[in-house]
Amino acid sequence: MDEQPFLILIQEHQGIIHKICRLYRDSKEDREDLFQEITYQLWKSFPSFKGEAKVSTWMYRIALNTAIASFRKKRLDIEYHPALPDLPDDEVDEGYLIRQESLFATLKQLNESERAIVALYLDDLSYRQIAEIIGINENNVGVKINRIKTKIQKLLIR
Amino acid sequence: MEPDQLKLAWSAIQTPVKTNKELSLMLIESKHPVLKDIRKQFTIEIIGWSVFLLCYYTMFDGDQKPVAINILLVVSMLFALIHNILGYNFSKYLINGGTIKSSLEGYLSKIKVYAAVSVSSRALLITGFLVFFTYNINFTTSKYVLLAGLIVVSLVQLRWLFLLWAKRLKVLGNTIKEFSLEKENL
Repeated sequence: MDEQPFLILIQEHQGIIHKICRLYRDSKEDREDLFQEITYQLWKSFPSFKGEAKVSTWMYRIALNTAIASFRKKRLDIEYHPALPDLPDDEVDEGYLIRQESLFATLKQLNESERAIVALYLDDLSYRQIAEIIGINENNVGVKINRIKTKIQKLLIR
Repeated sequence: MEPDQLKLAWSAIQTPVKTNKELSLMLIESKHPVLKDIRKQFTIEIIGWSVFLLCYYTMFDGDQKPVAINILLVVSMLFALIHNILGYNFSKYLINGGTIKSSLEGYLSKIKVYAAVSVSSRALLITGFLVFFTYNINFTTSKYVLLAGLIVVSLVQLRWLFLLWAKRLKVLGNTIKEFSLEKENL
């Protein structure tokens, strides 16, 4: 199978995979492993991607599915600084890092199903698209998002 | 942070950029992080068991033990190998449906079967070894103590494996339930 069209798609939308990895894994090593796992699963499902759905919809479906289903490797508990940037120092400012840490610290307090829904919501997918990706109806998505919003507000007030 | 601010913060996240070369390497099965570990374990076990099977018959008096016990030992080893092959294929295909919920449900059904195979293959392997090596032994008190110790260690190991799988199944089952619960609460 020709890798080139696939690599172009991934190159263009790899931000989605990075965000999912950040949302579902704590250490940099685990995120790297998950990134590779997601890319591999996307590659395996690429032949069945007919282009009927948006690329981002397909990528979110596979990435979230992989993040939830794949096992975490058992690692030694090494203390690491949560604010260590994945980007070179000169590309990020401190305020940005604090905002980003605060965002992920809040989102990681949600359970795995809520994290999946909130990732899709935050990326501005419609209720219909979210419903199609998750496999529940639009009304359920609406109810769930309202509950998540309330939960996030409470977490932020704490 | 208000929901709109969350959306802004989410869209403003700067992510690292992987090169085409790095991405291309990730498509190769031999570089896959989980599959690589399974293959490594698989290779070590195949070599170890092959060596054992080649010499157990003469070195460990296999020829002086009943055929049934020899068969039990060989079958328990083959079953462990089959378990490894299943695990390899299982880790290769994580996507089992057109939506996340249906895919996870399909995955959970498969993982339940695999968990059962995993625990039973370990139990069979332990049984095969214990029966083979204890057959025809003239037991003394110290040998009984040693055997009891081995059985206890084996049971602890099996219990640990069982709990590990039970935890994995529970976590995955709960996530699927969380997706479904909304329907009931409407």
